[in-house]
Amino acid sequence: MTFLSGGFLLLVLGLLTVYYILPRRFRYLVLLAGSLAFYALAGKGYLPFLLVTVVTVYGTARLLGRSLQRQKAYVAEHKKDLSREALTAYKKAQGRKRNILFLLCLLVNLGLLGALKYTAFLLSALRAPFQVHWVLPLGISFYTFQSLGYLMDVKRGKYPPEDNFLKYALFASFFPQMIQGPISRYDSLSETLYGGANFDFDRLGRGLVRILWGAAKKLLVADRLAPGLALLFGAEADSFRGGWVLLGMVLYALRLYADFTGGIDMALGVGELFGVTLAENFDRPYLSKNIEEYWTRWHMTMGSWFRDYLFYPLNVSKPFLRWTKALRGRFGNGFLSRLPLYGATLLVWLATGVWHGAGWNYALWGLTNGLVILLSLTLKPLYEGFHSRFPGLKATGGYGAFETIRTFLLLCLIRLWDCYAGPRGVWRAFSSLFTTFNYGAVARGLSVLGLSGGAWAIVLSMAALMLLVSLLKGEGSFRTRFINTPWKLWLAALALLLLCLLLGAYGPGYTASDFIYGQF
Amino acid sequence: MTFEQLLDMLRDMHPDIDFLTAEGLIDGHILTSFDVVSIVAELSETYGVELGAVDIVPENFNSARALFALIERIEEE
Repeated sequence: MTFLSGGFLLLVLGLLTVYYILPRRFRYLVLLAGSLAFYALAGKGYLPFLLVTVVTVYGTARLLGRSLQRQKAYVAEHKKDLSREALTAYKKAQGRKRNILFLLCLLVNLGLLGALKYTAFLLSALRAPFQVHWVLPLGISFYTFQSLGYLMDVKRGKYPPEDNFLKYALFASFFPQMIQGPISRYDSLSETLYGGANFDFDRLGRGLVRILWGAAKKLLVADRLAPGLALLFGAEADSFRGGWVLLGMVLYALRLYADFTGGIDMALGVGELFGVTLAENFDRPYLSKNIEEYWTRWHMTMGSWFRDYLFYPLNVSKPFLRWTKALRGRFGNGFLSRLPLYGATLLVWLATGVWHGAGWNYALWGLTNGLVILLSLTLKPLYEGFHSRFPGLKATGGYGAFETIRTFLLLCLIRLWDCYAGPRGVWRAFSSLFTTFNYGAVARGLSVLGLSGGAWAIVLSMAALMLLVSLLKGEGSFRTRFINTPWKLWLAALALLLLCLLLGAYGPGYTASDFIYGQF
Repeated sequence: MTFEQLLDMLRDMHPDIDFLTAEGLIDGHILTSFDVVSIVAELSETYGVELGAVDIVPENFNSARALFALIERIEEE
């Protein structure tokens, strides 16, 4: 059961009715019941895996919280009668105990995720004589990371653990985020998750507009492009070279954007119906001026998870700081003194790639992102030298457009790892961009993608509308700026509903319920 | 560590930024995660100020004053 299914619609309508009838203090229980029902219906046997994560993380966080509280009380009590060294030794001993607890919980949850997600790949890579066919529970990568982020925050003392088991279970399993995120943080999500918002007809309208906007992206663009792209990147990929690869790269970027941001719009919109604010996951990513910036604007909750819970802890850990200091002492401030930073960056990007899936392509996709970012970091002095010779250039609109287009094409190239099977397939596609000049044949043969003239008009018009909305909204919300009265909201909802019903892609060959990020 | 020393350190790393007045250094994508790591390494190496991963949040790095307030808190502890 996913967003664009009758079952999901019925579930949301039923939950909304009960949610707003019950007193506010019970409303979070409606969301929990709905979330567990959603997950149980999403797939046979999924629920026990989710429950293992909920129980282990809840229990461990409580133990960590108690240990921190005890430590605080002990230090306050003995601050005057114990030496600084004795207090430090006490804190270290307590910290070690917490580390053991934390690592055990990490082992259980990452072990579960790893076993389910990577065993089949590893067996195949090791050419084992047998194979396993385990089903990956829906959203396991998302809810595991969300739960582990919470655990790390509690361990760091950022906030106390949630005492109420049912409230914690809701945080880990809130149904709109189970399909493809966002990966929420407890401190921000809990502000609206448990309070039971008052009924607000306008907020309902805003939520509905966001859901329908997401559905329009999915049905008008992503689903219409899917069959053609499957042909370009599928078993017959060798027949589509040169211009076809370029076209495929650009259309895939469009499809992925419409699919993923559309799904997140729907998740956030559903949350809004219940007065729950989920984290934004995108900030006009295709307008980024370099790959590093792109990763602060695309899938933001995943990027910030890896940054806050892996990249920073690694780089500011004592061994890394000592290593950096030693290298600086020996080699100055040059390339070699940055080896720890480079190593950590590549490790984080490898983990990001592997998080997306089991396969060499995912790992290589992650590493390519890391290498491009490190290359731009290394070439920064050259880049700054160039701009000091042409000081006005950077501020011109033309140069800004060049940076945006360059970044877009670069990320399309990196995504070739997503599109083709194996490094050989990627290399053949990439090299053909420079050896096969068949753009005339591509222009004449577009019908092979299965889209009529009308369908192309729908896809391109919707793409233009998405770009226009991105440009107009600026850094704020489009709805707050332009759809800010009740009649505008309901008119927009009606227009979007008609758009989805009349121009969406339905029928054989279209799978409206599947989202690309749903498989992660 | 004094505020002036912090400003000098930041200026050495980024001569193009006026750290005395600049706000929103993280939120506005002016400083990157690499800059943040370099600042933490420099603080540790040159001034013995040890920042933990928990201290690395945008609020602490959005301006030189916010960073200095964090350093003062850590030094007091």
